[in-house]
Amino acid sequence: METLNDEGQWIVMMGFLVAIGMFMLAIVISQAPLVGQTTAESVIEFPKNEVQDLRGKLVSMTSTLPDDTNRLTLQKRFREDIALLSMSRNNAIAGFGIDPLNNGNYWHENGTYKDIEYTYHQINIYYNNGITKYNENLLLPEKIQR
Amino acid sequence: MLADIWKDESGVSEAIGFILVFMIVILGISIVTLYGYPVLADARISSDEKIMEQNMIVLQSDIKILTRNNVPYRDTTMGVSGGSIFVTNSTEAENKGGGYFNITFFNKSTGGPESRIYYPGSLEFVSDEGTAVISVTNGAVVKRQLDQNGSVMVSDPRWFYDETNGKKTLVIFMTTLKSTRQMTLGGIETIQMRMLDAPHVEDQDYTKGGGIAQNVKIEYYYGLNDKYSRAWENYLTGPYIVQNGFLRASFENSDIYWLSVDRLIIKEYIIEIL
Repeated sequence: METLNDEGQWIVMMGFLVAIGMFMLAIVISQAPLVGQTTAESVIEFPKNEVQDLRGKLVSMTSTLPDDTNRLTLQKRFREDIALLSMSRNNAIAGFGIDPLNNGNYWHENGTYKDIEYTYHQINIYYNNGITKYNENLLLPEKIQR
Repeated sequence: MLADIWKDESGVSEAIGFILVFMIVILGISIVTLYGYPVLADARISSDEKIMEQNMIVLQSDIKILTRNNVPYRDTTMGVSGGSIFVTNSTEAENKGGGYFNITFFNKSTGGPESRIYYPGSLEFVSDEGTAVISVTNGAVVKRQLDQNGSVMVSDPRWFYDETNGKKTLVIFMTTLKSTRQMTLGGIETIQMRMLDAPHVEDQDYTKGGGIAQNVKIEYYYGLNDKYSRAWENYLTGPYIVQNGFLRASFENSDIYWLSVDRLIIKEYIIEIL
């Protein structure tokens, strides 16, 4: 009996390997849209600009207010305006707390922290728009006058 | 000798051999037709439903972009496969027994309780061959099976709760659909949406100036043909908004939920579908 010629078996073998490989790829691809969407969403939706705006406004507030006689009233109004604007424009609950060690007195003479050259005034920013919850402790330095 | 038996071909019938092989082929084909084909059809239906689930999430995120990112106009083109999308607007929902929400809260300025009724309307996909019904309603994507009681929330609306500095704030977004005409979508369609009116905002700050926390009550009334009670129950009583969830009224078959809050914000958006 003539013996079987099995030299072409590798073709069949390769066929199997390619088929299994394509199957695996299909599984990976079918998972991709879901992962991509959630990742992209969380990157796009991080409220970077909103937080930066808030921080910028706080820094400028603290640098202008010290000379004002009604600074505490103005600070209170500022807080309310921030809360109102954040809610109506960005659907976010935003606000800030000032110097937790000295009962919210930004102008405490020693600041929150102090070293030889500077006093540091602490401002806590919080921002929550339902997806991102952001808290920041900002230390604003002020050079000690001698 | 053994080798001779194997080599000996007397008594071998080509006809019987042919019949045997032919039978095997026919058997194989019939098994595939009887069992394999329905499985394939099922797989197609369920993959259609999966695709539409994704499409509805796309629609939902479009609505989110309209309502939250201050974009006035938005359109999406999608292939509606294996079913159709029905647009039910708010007035239609009200006239034809659609589902609605009733939110009761303490109004600080009048000093008494106040109720607001919201008919959100829906964009609803109904599968032709399968049983899935997927709906974009009130900023959420919910799914149920035809003629079944249960339902599931595929994608949450964006209600949220904040407890910074111990102030319990609940923010509720109600999204209402408006359309000028009745609409059914099938095949490749473009859905155009816009939001031109500013949202109506209800902001009640109870603890401001030394008040006490008040209860807010949310009631869900399911539509005559559209029951998503279980989806909303799981969403409200689960840890999705508040860690411990809303309190559910204890009597049977009620969809009434409570939460005590220091500040309540309800924003109502009206989305117009063109």
